Amino acid sequence: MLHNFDSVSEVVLPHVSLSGFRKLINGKESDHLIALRHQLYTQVWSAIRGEIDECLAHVHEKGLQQVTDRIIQTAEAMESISSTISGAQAFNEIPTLSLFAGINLQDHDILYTQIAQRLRTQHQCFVMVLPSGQCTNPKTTMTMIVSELIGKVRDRILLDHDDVTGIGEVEFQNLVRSAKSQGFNVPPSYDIKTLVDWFRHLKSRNPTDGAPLIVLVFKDFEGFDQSTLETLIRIFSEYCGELPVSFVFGIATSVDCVQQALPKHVSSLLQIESINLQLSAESVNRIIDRILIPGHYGLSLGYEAYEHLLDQFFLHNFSVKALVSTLQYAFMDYFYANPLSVLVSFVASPDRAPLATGELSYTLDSLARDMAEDHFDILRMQPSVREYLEGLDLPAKALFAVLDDNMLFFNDHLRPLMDRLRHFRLHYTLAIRCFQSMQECCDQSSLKKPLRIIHLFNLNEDLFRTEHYKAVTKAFKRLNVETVTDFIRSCVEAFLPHVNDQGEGNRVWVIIRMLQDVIRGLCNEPNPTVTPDTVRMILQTDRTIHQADLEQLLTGVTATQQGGDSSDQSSVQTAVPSGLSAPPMTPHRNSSMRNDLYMSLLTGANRTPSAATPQRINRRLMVLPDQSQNLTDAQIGWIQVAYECLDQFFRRTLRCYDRVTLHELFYYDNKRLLKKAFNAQPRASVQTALGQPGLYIRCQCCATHKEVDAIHHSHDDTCVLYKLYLECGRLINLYDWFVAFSSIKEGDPRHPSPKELQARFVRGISELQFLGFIKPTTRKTDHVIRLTWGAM
Amino acid sequence: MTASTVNLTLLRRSAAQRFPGREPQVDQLLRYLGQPADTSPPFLFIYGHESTGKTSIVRFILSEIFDSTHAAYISCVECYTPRLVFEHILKQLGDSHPSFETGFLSNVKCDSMQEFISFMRRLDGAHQLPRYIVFDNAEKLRDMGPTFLPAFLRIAELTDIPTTIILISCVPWDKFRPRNGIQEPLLVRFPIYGKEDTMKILALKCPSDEPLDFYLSFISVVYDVFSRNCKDINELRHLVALLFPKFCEPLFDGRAKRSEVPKLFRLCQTYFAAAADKLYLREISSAEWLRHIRVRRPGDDSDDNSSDPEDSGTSILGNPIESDALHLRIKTKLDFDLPYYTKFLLIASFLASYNPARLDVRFFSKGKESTSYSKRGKQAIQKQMMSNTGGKHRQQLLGPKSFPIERMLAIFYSILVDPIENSIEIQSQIASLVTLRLLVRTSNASQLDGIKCKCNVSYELIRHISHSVQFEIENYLFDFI
Ligand SMILES: Nc1ncnc2c1ncn2[C@@H]1O[C@H](COP(=O)(O)OP(=O)(O)OP(=O)(O)O)[C@@H](O)[C@H]1O
Ligand SMILES: [Mg+2]
Repeated sequence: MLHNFDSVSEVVLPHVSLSGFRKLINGKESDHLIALRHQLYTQVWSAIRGEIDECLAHVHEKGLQQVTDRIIQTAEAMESISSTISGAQAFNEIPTLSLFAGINLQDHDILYTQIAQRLRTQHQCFVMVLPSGQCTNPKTTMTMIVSELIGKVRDRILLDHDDVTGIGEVEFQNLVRSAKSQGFNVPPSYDIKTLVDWFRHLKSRNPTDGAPLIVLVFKDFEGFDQSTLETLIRIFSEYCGELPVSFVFGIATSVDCVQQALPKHVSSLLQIESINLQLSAESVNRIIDRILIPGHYGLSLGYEAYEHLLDQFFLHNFSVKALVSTLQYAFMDYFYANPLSVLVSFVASPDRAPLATGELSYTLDSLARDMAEDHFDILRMQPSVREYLEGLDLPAKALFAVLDDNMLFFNDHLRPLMDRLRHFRLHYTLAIRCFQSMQECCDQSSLKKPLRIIHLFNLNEDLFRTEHYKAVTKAFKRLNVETVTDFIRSCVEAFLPHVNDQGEGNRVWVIIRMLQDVIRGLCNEPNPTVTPDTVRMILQTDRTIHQADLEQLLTGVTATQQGGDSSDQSSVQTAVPSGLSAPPMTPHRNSSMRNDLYMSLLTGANRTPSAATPQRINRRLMVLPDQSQNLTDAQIGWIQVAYECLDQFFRRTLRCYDRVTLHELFYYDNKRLLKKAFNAQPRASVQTALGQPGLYIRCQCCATHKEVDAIHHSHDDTCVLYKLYLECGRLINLYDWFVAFSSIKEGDPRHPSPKELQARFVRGISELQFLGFIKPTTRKTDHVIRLTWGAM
Repeated sequence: MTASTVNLTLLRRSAAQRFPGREPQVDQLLRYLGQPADTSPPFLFIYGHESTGKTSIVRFILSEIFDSTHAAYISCVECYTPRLVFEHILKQLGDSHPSFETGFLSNVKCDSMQEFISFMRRLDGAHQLPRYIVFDNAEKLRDMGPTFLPAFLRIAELTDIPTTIILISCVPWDKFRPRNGIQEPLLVRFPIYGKEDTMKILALKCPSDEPLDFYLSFISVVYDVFSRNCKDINELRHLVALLFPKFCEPLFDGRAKRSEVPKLFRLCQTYFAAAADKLYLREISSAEWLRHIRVRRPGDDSDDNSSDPEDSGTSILGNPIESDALHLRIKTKLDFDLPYYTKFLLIASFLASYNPARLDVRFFSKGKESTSYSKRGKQAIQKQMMSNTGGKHRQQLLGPKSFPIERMLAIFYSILVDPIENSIEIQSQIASLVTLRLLVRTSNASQLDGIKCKCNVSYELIRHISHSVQFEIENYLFDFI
């Protein structure tokens, strides 16, 4: 297997900054692999980051278009209003769009940049995005708006007259120079008049096309100073006729806040329309759908980490930004801490495998050579691998070989296992979407769970064991044949390009193959050789069946059925071996079982279906009350088998990830770390630090005393005081506290002087006060109040 | 340069035509101002409610009598700093405006009163004619420091040029008068219009293709309907402009004739209701309203019996207008969502704001069968409270009380069904509630210790929110209706 030597190990590594990646496995990891991990991380994350951005752009796309269109429309409508309604100009209303973009202000930055971008490029508007933090009074705000706009307007003038490229600027500079010589040397005061002048000038320059629209975006409306807003609105409305201005209010809460922030006579100067643009949940759904579920890059999240991610978003903050950071942290930790993360490329989908090309590219073979003994040990130690090895039922000698010979283990077991995992993921992704569309077919809205929830269910346990699955399949059975057929067809179409009869996909392939027959059956054009019962039998077998086998099998079965009345066993027996000889046998042990399979199939086929049918139909009639009248008997048979087939299909594909060998390696599940990184618990940490300083200060003496609660003189002063504090009541006498403190510190071999002790005591309690444990009181002299109760 | 004289009689007549109902005020103003060369009283104060024509009339008269270098008009909303005020006056009186031609530079930089006065002295034609400076929205002047207005009132003395200061404001003079005494102005009052005047003013805008009588009968009804809430000319005009097309609609699709005014009103009634509801509060913008009208303009009225599902649904009921007006009732429901725990934080703040602190133990102690206990407790206390205070000092009527964050957090942790750990996330959500102004910080922003907040949401909102997390807030509120 090691014949194609790759030159990876010979490649002189380019100088890669490893940004802190450590040697793992007790420092025994090779430099090359560290570089590889680091490189993998950078590449995988930047690819994912790119995909996330695409997702966000996609989700924003529609909303953005809507927003920009609306802004333009209202501005135009304003003009037409003033022309249709007499005296409407007197209203001086400013067209205003209030945009409800959800409560997470940080996420909005991208959104508003995109809106601004779009308005600028598509409609030649002048857009100003105003940050509330800098708009604290009318003066700064107006100065900002006017100076910025004037700069832009000038650019525009210069650009429009590009026949005199460069001259515009020169011309302007000349104007400035001559104005200066006439005593005009005070910089403009950037008030509205200046702006109006600019505009007049701009219009006079090109009177043909209408003056461009000025759009002022108030990104976080709630954060704006109310009187500033009021002034701005009054000023701009005064000049409505001369300056075409539109406002955009980014509102996080509700319309009321406009009415709350502005007095009636000001809010009536606005012509407000609203658009709801709460995209964060949608963005997250898409990220989950496109990135987390397929795990294209080889890594997915396990149940706990995934649940944590969802909880953080839906229960705590609605922040896409935070979600992305958490995700990044998870990926970083994975490549940072897991020496086996180098395997990730081989479970990634082929088109996105990281580092498949380029300087650092590597192959499985080269990797196998680079991996140290410990890598293999870690691999074998994974619970799922152990289970797998035990399940192999190998004779002791063969098992020993697997355990001992790394290359054997690698090539004969690890490779197929990784393939299997990849297939599992691929099928899972396709199937979960099928399942979602199955939900969509049903009428009850309670059954329509979003993909992210189905995925959550599925990470927790096999989907088919959940109540939800049962409810959906039950509801599905009430649908009419056409819907069922269409649904099956869409499933088949989704899967066909991705399955073949080789290797791990085989069972799924068989099911898909059967579904195709089912479709034909449901459409009343069955393949003459196949009946519902054959399908059922083939489904029930648990063996690998290859394409050639299957064809053989089907014709064989038909032969039996045709000759079934005469129960001509011999003819069937002859048919079987010819089918057997065709396919290449992969696992040697299967060949003997193949015969049994056929035997069981055939005996199944020999049970004359005609006897069973009426009874079954009766049962079905109860299931399908409203369909029975317009279905042929054959169709009823087919639809029943269709349900079974689908059930099998989902049972096969929507398994829980923890049943797949090697899942520990490719499903990240360190929820605790994520929590620690993103949900700091300051109070708990302070308390642990004070109560168990040994956890933080790794000094020798701390390691020696075992009992946690004991107070030892070598502890830090504040910790000693804290521990004494825990024993106190609500009011603490400072003197008693001091005495207790000194008596503990007496054990110190350095014998600190009383003065020193007193100073250290004072420092300690002021630290406690700073941390919020005590507070001075006037109720009793020399006492402090305790502010916390027990270990909350 | 000798000042041209103005024919005041002519001016009076044209002003009366333009501004019906303001003859006394116009007369008074003309008497005070006189000819351009006449010296006028140094200080006029024009007072009246919003949209009573103060700005328009004063500007009209000034522009008719004086040329622009003798009368400066300053809108104090626009000129938010003293520097802007000075410079705007100087630019208007000196007739120089920075423009593209001057590279937007200006030749005056005037930051203080001293500079201003010296600039004023140097202006051309200083010795010839009296000057007028109008401050519109003069209430804003009070923000510019206590000496600003008194100094302006002495400008004539300081510059040796007769100067009249005119203040226009909707705040009465009493609210301006500084403590250390100031020259008293001549007052001109612009009272609110009565029905007759309002009608005359509105009639000015009668569309040329409509008979005046017809239009008058329409505005008279509009006035009757809305005047109780709003006598503002601008608002009424807004309503008229938007309602009139609706009113005329039946004429074009043949449902009524011009003579059948009462019938027209009946047909239009729902719009009046909708307008009172939404339009006045601008909950539906005029553009939306108009877009709506435009669809149903004559010519394409065929969509009355079209297959539009909304319309056809109601036209079965034989009342297409109803559907229209209902259609206007755009949902005003609260449509913003908060994360799960943030909702509970908000609920807890609401409870902390409206419940007395001493009852927290009763309501929120995590004891046995807490709900039934607290319910009973609640009733008992309520009875006791009612007998004591008669429920007059109910917190609900007094508005939200501020509470320390710790108390709110204690309530928060006790109302949660599944306990969660105290993490940084909770703190940051409190901060974001404050940014969203759902909580209002009442303690000083620089004080990090013992932060206090108020809950700034309505009962409807909080009920909606608690409903969405299946929390029955009614059971936890004390003395609340
Ligand atoms: N007597 C009138 N005749 C005709 N139009 C009038 C009359 N009074 C007010 N209006 C109109 O009402 C509108 C509002 O008037 P204006 O802005 O002058 O009021 P204001 O008193 O300055 O209001 P604010 O106090 O809000 O500044 C203007 O369009 C004006 O033309
Ligand atoms: Mg005004």
